[in-house]
Amino acid sequence: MISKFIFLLSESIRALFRAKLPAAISSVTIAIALVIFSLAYFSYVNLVGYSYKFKSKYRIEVFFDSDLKFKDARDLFNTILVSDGIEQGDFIDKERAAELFRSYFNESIIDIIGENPLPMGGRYDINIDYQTSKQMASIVRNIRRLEGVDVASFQQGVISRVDSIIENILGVSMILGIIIFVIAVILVSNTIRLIIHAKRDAIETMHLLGATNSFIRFPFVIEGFIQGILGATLSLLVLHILSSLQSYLLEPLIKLPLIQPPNLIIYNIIFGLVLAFIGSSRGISKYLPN
Amino acid sequence: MIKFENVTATYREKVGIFNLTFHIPKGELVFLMGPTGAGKSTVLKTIYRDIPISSGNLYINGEDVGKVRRRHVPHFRRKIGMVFQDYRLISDRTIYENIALPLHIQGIPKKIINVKVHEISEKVDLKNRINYYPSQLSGGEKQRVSIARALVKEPLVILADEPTGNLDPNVSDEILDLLEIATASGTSVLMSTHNFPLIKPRKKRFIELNEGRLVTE
Repeated sequence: MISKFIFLLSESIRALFRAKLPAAISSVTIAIALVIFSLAYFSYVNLVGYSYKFKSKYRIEVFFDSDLKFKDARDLFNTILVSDGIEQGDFIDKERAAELFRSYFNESIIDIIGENPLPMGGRYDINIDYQTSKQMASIVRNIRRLEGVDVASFQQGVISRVDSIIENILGVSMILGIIIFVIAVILVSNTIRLIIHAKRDAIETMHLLGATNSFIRFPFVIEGFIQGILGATLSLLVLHILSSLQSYLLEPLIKLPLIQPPNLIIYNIIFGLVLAFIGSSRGISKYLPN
Repeated sequence: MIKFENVTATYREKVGIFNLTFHIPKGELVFLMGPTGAGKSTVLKTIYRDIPISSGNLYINGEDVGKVRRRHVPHFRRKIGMVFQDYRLISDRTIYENIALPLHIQGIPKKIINVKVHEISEKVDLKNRINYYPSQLSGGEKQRVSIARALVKEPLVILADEPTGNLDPNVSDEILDLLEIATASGTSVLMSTHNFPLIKPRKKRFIELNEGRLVTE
């Protein structure tokens, strides 16, 4: 059993050297698929990352009744602060409201009308799980029901639009990702199948000599794994070059630091192995009896 | 060793072998004669379970071939040595690797394989060609490699399907000599051929087929 295993393992490695060109073609095909997949993953991570950054600016603004006393306003602020979906808040008393007025209009409200009629209120940041137009509308409805609340609002029109854009882009990205994966599997398995097709006579001879399906399959699968690792290494090399080019060419233009996707190396190796495994398994199965 | 009892095996309607009954004892070389399409290859394919048996019984060393389960066919084939007209050598492997392959399939340790391959390559006079590739050999040498590959696993039976079909008369005689030597160790050999002048001087038993039926035995 051990001698058989050692033989099959050495066969797999020697097969790569016996057919260097087909092995290179297969590895390059896997590398191309992985580069396309990594770029799609990179775009997805940046899209999601920047959409979260944008959404973190979502706020609800609340204005209390103007006749509400300071202590009651503070209590009302705290009541809202502990409700579902509120991450943190900023209490705005009359003085802070006047300051904000000055920062917006560059003039003091007291200088204009001789007194400060601005109501107290609060600004609330939204928890990450509630940052959708629908859920924010629900939070606002609940706040409006509270006694002492005059106005509660958020930029519903803009947020709805942004939400639908992000949802559409993520949906399209997901479909594109699946399409790229399917194309990659077909591309890799057809390449490997062509390579195996060239060895069909050897496979048939092995059958006649009494080789089991697993004896024949094993070297092809191991060979596929090695090609997967080679493909992943090649893909990471190309991605490293692209990343260097991007920091020189793209970043000065778009003025946004791009987010580096986490675990890209591990994902490349895993996807390389998965592609090679599916490819070699599909490729060899055609030449094995059921 | 090989026993056919009213065996019928067809791979297309009305094409195959029908009601064949014969017996080949241990250590005997028997020729399977007949024109093209007579069913010679079908007899051999039935023995190594490439074609299923429709009716009758076929025994190899007492084992009922028809009852060998599909997943056990590879193990069953390890008991049989096969020699083909087109040699069926693996082109990207050396002669040593080709001869050693059946032993690797059986999981025999490398040291024993090494001894056996050297022994058998000496027997078939290929010791100085052991590191060559099939493309570097003549037709006769390729067929000797094929015989060595069949003999190395010390099979119960050798099935030779027109092994001299592509060879000139002198080389064909050498191949027959090798197959005859194999019988000395108790291996039964069934060789198909349509070259009667080649086998006539050997004065061996032959089975004649026509359209899948036994003509003479």
